[in-house]
Amino acid sequence: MTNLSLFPFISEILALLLCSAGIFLLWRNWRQPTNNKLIQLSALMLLVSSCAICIYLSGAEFGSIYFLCMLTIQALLLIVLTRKLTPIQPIPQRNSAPSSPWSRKKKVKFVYYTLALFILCGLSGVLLTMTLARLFIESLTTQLAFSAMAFPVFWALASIWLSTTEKTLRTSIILSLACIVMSGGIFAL
Amino acid sequence: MFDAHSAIGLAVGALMYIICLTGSLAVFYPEFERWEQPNIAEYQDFPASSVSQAYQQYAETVKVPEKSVYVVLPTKEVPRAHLSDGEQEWWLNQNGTFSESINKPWTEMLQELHIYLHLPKTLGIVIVSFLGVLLAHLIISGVLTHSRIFKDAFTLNWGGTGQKQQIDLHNRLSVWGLPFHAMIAITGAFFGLVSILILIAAAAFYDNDRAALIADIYGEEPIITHAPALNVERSLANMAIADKQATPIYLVVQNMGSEQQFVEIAATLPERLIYSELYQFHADGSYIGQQGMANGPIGRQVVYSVYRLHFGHFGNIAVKFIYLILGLALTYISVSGINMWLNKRGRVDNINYLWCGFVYGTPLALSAALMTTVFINASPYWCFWLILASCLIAARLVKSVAKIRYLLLMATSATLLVTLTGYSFIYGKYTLIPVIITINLCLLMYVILMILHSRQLKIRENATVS
Repeated sequence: MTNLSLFPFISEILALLLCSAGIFLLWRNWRQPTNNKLIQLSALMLLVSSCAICIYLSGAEFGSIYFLCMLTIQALLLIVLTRKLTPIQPIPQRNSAPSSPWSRKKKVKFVYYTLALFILCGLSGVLLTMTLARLFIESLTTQLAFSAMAFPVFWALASIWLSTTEKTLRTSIILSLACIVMSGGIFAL
Repeated sequence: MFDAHSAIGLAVGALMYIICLTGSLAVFYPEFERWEQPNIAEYQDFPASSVSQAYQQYAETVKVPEKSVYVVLPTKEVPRAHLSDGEQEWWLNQNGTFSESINKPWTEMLQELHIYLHLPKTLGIVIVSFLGVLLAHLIISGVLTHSRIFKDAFTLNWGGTGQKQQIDLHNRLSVWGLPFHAMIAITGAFFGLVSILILIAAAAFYDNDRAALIADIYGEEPIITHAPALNVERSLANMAIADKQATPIYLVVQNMGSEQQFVEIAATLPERLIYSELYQFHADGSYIGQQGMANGPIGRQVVYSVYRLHFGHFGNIAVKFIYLILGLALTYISVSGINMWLNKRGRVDNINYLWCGFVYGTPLALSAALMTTVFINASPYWCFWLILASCLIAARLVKSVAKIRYLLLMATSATLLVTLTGYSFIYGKYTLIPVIITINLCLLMYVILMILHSRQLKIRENATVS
């Protein structure tokens, strides 16, 4: 019987091949006019196996990172290799009229939005992560670590809400009130 | 939602471009440091007696007490040791004697541009970290905007007018690179803006004592009152006994020369992402304990894992190249986002010229700064900003996007070729060191790619004219 451990990097190559096969199946399924659940499931199984081998080889921390890097690079490579080529064509020349300068109202809105994005959304994001951490995590160190990692996401979510709403003023008031309530909760409890 | 995505993208696209480009290059900062001083002795083995010799020479040369003095040990990545007290730094010979002072002006300029945008440090890091938050905003709003995220998962139209190619590349790179981009955004925001969190948390839970909060997260330092004489050799010997799996990366004598002095040895552990575990010793080398970065509270382990994750300093050189590729993908996304808006605008004016000058002028400014450090040892900071400003002025005067692009691409290629030729003449046999050969080949490859890119642009331009 052949001893597989004699082949150098056999497990690494296996992880790479499983990942390639998974992405290839996803791509094949994507090219079909109808979705095939069986192919999707097989692709998922292959990707999970590849991830498991990566974790087995390099530990949970490095293994999952290596798997994600491998997945991204291979998918991008497949996209580049299967690109749809079109002969180079001239760029259409358009000459739209120049836009009118910003009105005073628009300028004020821009300044307000910039400040709100930085101060109000920042504060809301930080306080919301801290409140959630206080509610669901017991250890103070872990609460702080969770807040340190999660606050950019909550900050971004608050800024998305503020930038997409039609009612900027009302949203700002809601965020400000939420900030007061949350800081009360954090400092008082 | 799409408007919010475009507005934020437009507002920060230029800064994001600089930060992503310099960040992608900065992954290789240890290699660039070696490139800037190739004549320093390189070795893998640095015995404990050499560490002791280095501290002895430091104590004799620099008579400033009560400082934290680091000896960074050689690694595969940087096979040369150095000593630093936070203000002055020297490379060390294998026997522990001082070699030349560390001189890495271009690498320093690159790192400071990435971390502080060459602004005052506090302001700079806050702005750069805030861009991390905005990147998170762009990622989330981009995903929510993209209704055909799965339908178009593998679509890439190449050629044509180039506009569809740009949109497809922007979307595909964004979607498949999402985990990496999200990680960069969150960890990037963490570095500068965590101070806001510290401020609030210290007020709420630690009676405004920020030091207590930091000690709680990162672990406490031992309190020493009557320190014995320094014996780093014994510390290193005891370190090998304390943890056989750990690989020391640096050694620091805290409060050197004072009654509170003690030794800390930072070491990496296999299969762990944390920057290092810290092993503490009395000055005479007797073991105190470890700070608990690897086995302390889970929160501490998570926070201490951020550094390697953001910088890409783990695994082997392949990881660095993957970070370079994905970092450049984010750079492309920043540029193509604004290009798409410019195309949609449907007219060509000063904004187009200036943007083109900025995008193609930044690599030229970086190359020119590199050239000045190789030839005349001038300040790369001034050189970078002067060249970038000149590119913007030139772009405004030339008033043709195609011409500006061609001129700046050619100028970058020429600058890099002159730099490489000059470097080979100045450093002669040192250019045969594998890491130097690799960097020089990469720079040469970049030149070839730029020439090919300019040819492709010329073909498209000719098609448009005819």
